[in-house]
Formats: sequence, structure tokens, C-alpha cells
Amino acid sequence: MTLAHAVAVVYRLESAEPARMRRVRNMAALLLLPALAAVVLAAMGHWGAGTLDQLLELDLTLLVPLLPILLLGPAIADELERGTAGFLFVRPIPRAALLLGRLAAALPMLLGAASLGLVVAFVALYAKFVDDLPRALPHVLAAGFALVAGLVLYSLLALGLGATFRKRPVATLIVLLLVDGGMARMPLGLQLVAPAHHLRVLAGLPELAGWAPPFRVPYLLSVAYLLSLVVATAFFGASRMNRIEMTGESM
Amino acid sequence: MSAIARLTKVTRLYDRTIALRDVTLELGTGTTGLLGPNGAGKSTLLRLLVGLMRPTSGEVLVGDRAPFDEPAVLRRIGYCPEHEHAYEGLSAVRFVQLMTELHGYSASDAEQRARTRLEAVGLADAMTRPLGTFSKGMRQRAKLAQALAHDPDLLVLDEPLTGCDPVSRARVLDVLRAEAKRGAAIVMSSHVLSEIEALTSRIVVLHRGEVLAEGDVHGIRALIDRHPHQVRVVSNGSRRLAERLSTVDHVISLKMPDAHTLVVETRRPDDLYDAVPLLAAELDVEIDSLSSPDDNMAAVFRYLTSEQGVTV
Repeated sequence: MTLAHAVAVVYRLESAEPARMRRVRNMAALLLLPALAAVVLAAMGHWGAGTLDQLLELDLTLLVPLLPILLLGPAIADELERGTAGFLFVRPIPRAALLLGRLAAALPMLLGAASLGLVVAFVALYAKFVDDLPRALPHVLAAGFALVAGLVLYSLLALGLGATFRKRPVATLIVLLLVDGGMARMPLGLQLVAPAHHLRVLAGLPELAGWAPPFRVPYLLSVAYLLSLVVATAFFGASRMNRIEMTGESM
Repeated sequence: MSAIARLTKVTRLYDRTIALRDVTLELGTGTTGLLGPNGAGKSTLLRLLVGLMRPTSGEVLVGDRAPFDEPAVLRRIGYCPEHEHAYEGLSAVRFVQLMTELHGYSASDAEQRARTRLEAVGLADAMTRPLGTFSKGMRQRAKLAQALAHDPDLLVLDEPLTGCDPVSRARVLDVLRAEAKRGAAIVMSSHVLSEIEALTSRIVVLHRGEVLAEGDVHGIRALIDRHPHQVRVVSNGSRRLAERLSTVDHVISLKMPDAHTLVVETRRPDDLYDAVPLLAAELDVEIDSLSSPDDNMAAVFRYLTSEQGVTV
């Protein structure tokens, strides 16, 4: 059985579980918060690129890392705790299929919600400046790409770290939020290691006041860095999965 | 017996606790009952067999492959776990179908197999209901169906009859007998002796992580000759029989709970079974019944697992 076939079956297994899909929907709904905020801000008279960037900042540095972690960080721990992983681990399939199947079940909804949120925020905040729309469009597309890249990356990180710290999902949260978020605000050097920093580069957001590095990281370098992180995380997660043992409670 | 699975000097530790100690075992076609009290190491042994864990030391092979390191061999294995958790929102047929698809079957083949197996375990009418609505016994049968649906060579069942009512228990046992007849090797754990007794006389007794004994009931009995076996003789001449048996060297004690019943404790039950009819003929005593309460596995198990009873 190929990995793709196994992933497809696990995806169907996940999608057929109403409780799990409800959780995905709830998390996806939270990704619409920037859109809601944009509508409220627009109604209060806050318009334009500055407001959009502030919302993107919120999106990229808080929601995009946090929601995949909350959703997928405990995924493997849950499977192990409930024992359902035992049904999958005794099949002749690569265990990575379990990670990728869960990712496939969650990601479309997260990406859809994030994209919709961005479009709504963009329309709401530029409604008064229709002439500026073509000029702002590349920035919004770049932000959209950063959102997609961020969600994919953090979802994989959440699954990979969740497989590592499987009995302590909170560790995943700490690693990602404190280390990544913290490093993104560190002086040059550490700042360049943090995915959050490169996502901001991808989105074309202005440098954080007071923490700007002395040079601007080339866009393609950020893309390459994030891509290499995605690949490394996928391999890391797959390797962790292969080492998981289901000891159970009773002997 | 050609071995389908083999454990060689397997030890498994949980932190500092020894779950299995130096276990060597061969499992061939037919049914093997894994017997032992809670905490004996049964589930650990089964998890090692299906690749959910790896041994701390020693070797576990199914065919010639280690199940933890070589998932391809899992194609040959069906596993019914002890816990009752499953995918609560899925219907039984969908659950079994998807699990079977993971063995490489197409969706339609897998669904057909799922339906056939669910019917076989008596869930024909309930197969479209979500597993979350199932009773414990029904879940057990659904789990059994998913273990069977890909026709495994090695069927590993962890307490599969827990929660089953008598009717479904009988049905499950029929299914397992059919699987054994098909040529599958079945390993089934239980701490309820009658469950294993109903399926096989080949048992492995685990106690505190060690194989205490293996073989059939009588074979195991032979291993525990330090323990007295009771043989109950109902006749019209209990007193005369008692007088003669009191001089036999392997007889330990004699009791007469009533005028017609003689309970003989012996270290060599087979010799006693031979001797009693001959004595009865000699003394012109008519024997109504000759039985051993120990023939029930419960007694053997009690002997083997009690602190004083360990003899192997």
C-alpha cells in the first residue's frame, strides 16, 4: 500500500468522525476573527494598509501559530491515550500516514478560513479606496501566501512535536510560542532562525519597531528557509512516529 | 506445529518494572490461550507480537520479520485490542471497511469484507449504527470483525470475549473456531479460564511476566506434581476403597464427605485413574462416577498462580 493511499484512508477516517471535524471547524472559525475585526474597525473609521498590516501581524504572530498547535499538537497524544492509534499502528502502512491524514483532514478548512478572512478584511479595509485596490493586491497575495505557508508549517510542527512530546502537549505549545515568538523578537541572529520572522518577510510586513535587523532578509531566502523547515519537520515527525510504542496501561 | 510467530528470550521493561522476563515461545496454527491474572504480562506479550512495542531484549519474529521494525509483516496479523475505545462517530461497517482498506483492499472489496465479517459476528442489524451507540459486547465484536476482515495468518486477541453476552460469546467462539480451521494461528488472552477452555486445550500460563507453564491442561498438570490433585469417586463402597487406597504411596489424603463419596488427594492422578477401576473390580464395588474437580482449568490455574502453587 502506498503512502498516498494510506493518507487518503486516514483522511476519510478523520473526516467521518463528527467530533474531530467539529473541532477543526471551531478552530477554523477563529481564523475569521481578523475579518470580523476588520469589519468592526472599518465601521469605526479605521481604513487602509496600516490597519490591514496590524491585523496581519495579529494573524501571523498569534492565530496562525496558535490554532494549529491547539488543534494538532495533542492529536497523537489523544490517539495514543484513547487507544485508537492501536488500530492504525497494526496496519502495514507507514505511520507517517497518520500524521499526513490528520493534516489533510484539518488543513483545507484552516486554509479556507484564513483565506476567506484575509479577503473579507481586505475588502472591508479598502472599500473606501477602490482605486488603491490594484496596488494593494500584490501585498495581499503575499500575505495570503504567508498565511498558507504559516499554517502548513505550524501544523506540521504541531504534529511532529506532538509526536515527540506526546504525553505533554503543552510542551509543544511552549516550544512553538515561546521559542518561535520569542526568537522572532530577538536581535539579529536568533531572529533569523524564527519561522515567524520569515513569515513576516513573506507577507511584506514592516519591520518590528526597535528590533529591525540591519539588513532585509531576501524574500527567496525566507521562502527557502521555510520550505526546508517544512520538509525537515515532516521527516522529523515521520521518524518520531516510527519510534512510538503503545505500552498501554495494563501489562 | 510449524511456528508462525516466535519469541526468543524476550524481556520487556516499563521503566523499572519488568513486564515480561526471558519469555521464549513458539506459536503455530490453531488456537493458543494465554492465561494469567491481571498484570501477568499478557497484553505486553500481545503488543510485542503485533508490533505496538519492541522488546527491551530478545527477539520477536512473525515469520522471519520483526513486527515493530518491519510493518510489511503486519499484513499477516489481525489484532483485537483489549480497550473498548474506537472511532465513536463511525458506523461499524465504515470502521471495519476503512481498517480493511489499510491492508490494501479497494473500498468496494473492503466494504464487502466488512459486511461479511460483521454478519459473522452477529452485527448484521447494527452495522450501520455509530460505534458510540454500541454496548461493550457489540464493540468487542466490531473490533473482532476488523481484526478478521483481511484474513490474517496470525490473529491476536486481547480479552476478546469481555462484555459479550452468552449468545454473542457462542457466536464469537464459532467464528474463532472457523478461523482456526481455516489455518490461522490464534493467540487469545484471558483471565477467565472457561473462555479459553471453550476454545482450546493448548495454553500458556503467564505469571508476573514469566511463562509459568505451557502445553495442554494435562501436560501442565504433569508439571505441577508437587501439588495434590483431587479425584472424586462416587461408589457403593467408599469405605472399602478408602481402606485399600490408604496404602498406596502416591495418595496423600482421603476424605469422605458423605457415605457414597470418596475424595482422594494424589500426586499422580493418572495412576489413580488406572488403579481405582481395578480396585473396584477386585473389591466388587460399583463406581457411579470418577471425576476430578481439577479437570477444570480453574484449578490448574489456581495451583499454578498461587504463591504456594508455583512449581515450574
